[in-house]
Amino acid sequence: MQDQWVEFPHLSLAGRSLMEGIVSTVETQLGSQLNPSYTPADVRSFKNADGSGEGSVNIKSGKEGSKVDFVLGSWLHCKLPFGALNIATIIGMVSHLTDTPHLLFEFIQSSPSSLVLVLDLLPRKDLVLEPEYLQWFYEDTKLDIPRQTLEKAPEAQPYVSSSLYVRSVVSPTAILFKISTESQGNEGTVDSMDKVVKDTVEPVVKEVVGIWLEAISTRGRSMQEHEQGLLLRRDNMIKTKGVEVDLSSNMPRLFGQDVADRVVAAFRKGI
Amino acid sequence: MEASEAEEVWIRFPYLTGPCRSMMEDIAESIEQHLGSLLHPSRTPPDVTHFTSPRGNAEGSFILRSGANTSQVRFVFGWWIHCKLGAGTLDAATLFVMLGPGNDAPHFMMEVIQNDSSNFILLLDLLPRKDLVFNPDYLKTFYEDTELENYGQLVEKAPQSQFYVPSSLYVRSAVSPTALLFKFRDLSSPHDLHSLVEELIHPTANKVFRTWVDAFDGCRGRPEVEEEEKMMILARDEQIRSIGIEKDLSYLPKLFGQEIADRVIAAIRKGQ
Repeated sequence: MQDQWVEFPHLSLAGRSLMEGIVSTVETQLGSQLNPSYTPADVRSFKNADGSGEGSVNIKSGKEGSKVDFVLGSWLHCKLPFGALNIATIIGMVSHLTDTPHLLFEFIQSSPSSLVLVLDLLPRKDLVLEPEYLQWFYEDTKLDIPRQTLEKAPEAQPYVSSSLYVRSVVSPTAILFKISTESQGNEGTVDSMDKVVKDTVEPVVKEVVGIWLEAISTRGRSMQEHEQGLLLRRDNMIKTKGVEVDLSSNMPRLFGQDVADRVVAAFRKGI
Repeated sequence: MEASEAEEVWIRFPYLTGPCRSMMEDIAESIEQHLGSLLHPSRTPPDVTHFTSPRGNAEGSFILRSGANTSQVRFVFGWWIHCKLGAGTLDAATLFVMLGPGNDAPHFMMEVIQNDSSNFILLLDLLPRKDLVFNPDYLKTFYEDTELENYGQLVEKAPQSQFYVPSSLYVRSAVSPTALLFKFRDLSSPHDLHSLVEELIHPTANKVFRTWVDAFDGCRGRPEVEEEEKMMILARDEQIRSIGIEKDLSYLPKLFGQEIADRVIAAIRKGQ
């Protein structure tokens, strides 16, 4: 049993347990397809000039010929006037040799009583043009059920990304919710959020990640050469317009351009 | 209304109530105004323009008008169904402008589903003709550079509104990132929704339709798309037609019997 590859030191108990648990599961299942991490030390740990923010980005690339392009675990922690902003992310990028959707999981906590969840299996193909892909990866796997479960939770409200591009990238079963425990009053909000995270959020996340891992091993189809090229191009669009824009919009402001550039470079290289 | 005006009304929605009815009929009229000269009069057979279920508990109408130049406008259609279910009723009404593969302007879609006068569901969208992930410039031209997002946010603010998530994953995939998908219900008084539709929803529908007209007019001025792109657009439109539209009508056999359902599907496929 190896040491935890990525830790999330600034999250609450339940948040930390959730994120580290998912990292561990992903690593265990995909471990044989992954290289050790070559992420430079100054990307694995960085701070901003006045110490009000720190972060960590950790990447393990997939082995040559494997189904995995890379897996990424990262966190940002910024002290704010009335608390802290924590952004924890897990990404599972699938290689162009197979067509399984990518995994995107973001746990964004802007206050003890307010959490934004982004959890999705990002499609590799245009679902309107290829309904069989939609059927195979989204309908047959009953991926909408975990989303419906969370939708019913009284603490959950739909979260709409301000980026139209992000809205286009996510799947029709994307889990996009704001979780709010504000109505419970100020006493013990950390505990009430932790309870919701443990009882309501965690089972749903585990279910979706489970579906993803199974899809990698049993549902992904081998791509012919001409299909690989198409997947690569589409994936690059998702990486640059989707993820990079996300990374480079907050990071320069919080950590300076230098750090932002380093992180984007690591992400591009997939190490 | 003058007799000549009445003749040009290509579809009515007799079972929708009050402001929802005015809204749908108004948009139908706008479609006639902007596209009338590009469309054939309807050639839909009379047993498709109006049909009733064998048990008499449901009624429907499907009217299609094909484009004179199907490369630009493929067809427009409107349909409605009205059914009595136990103690209540269900009414659904749709207007759809399906463009041809010679241009890449979005299709226009509007649907209202009403259980009774105290609530209804709205789907209102400009459906993309391209994969937005691969074509961010398309996203910019037809969505980011318009006011569509603002129109949606304004409706979102209304206390009677809630997001509506279609049960069909395909429909969720086909709609744009600025699609207006809402459930509305009366909060206080029965006329609550009445005013909301008159003051906000109907004007919004007009603005969205106006945005669509601008998009379509913008594309008309340009040369037709390249052959390869045309094939791509056509392939996509075919999926929207067969899965988005035909599958949406999958309850027809149950309500009206296989014969009527087949006739309606045939009308769509023939483009008449």
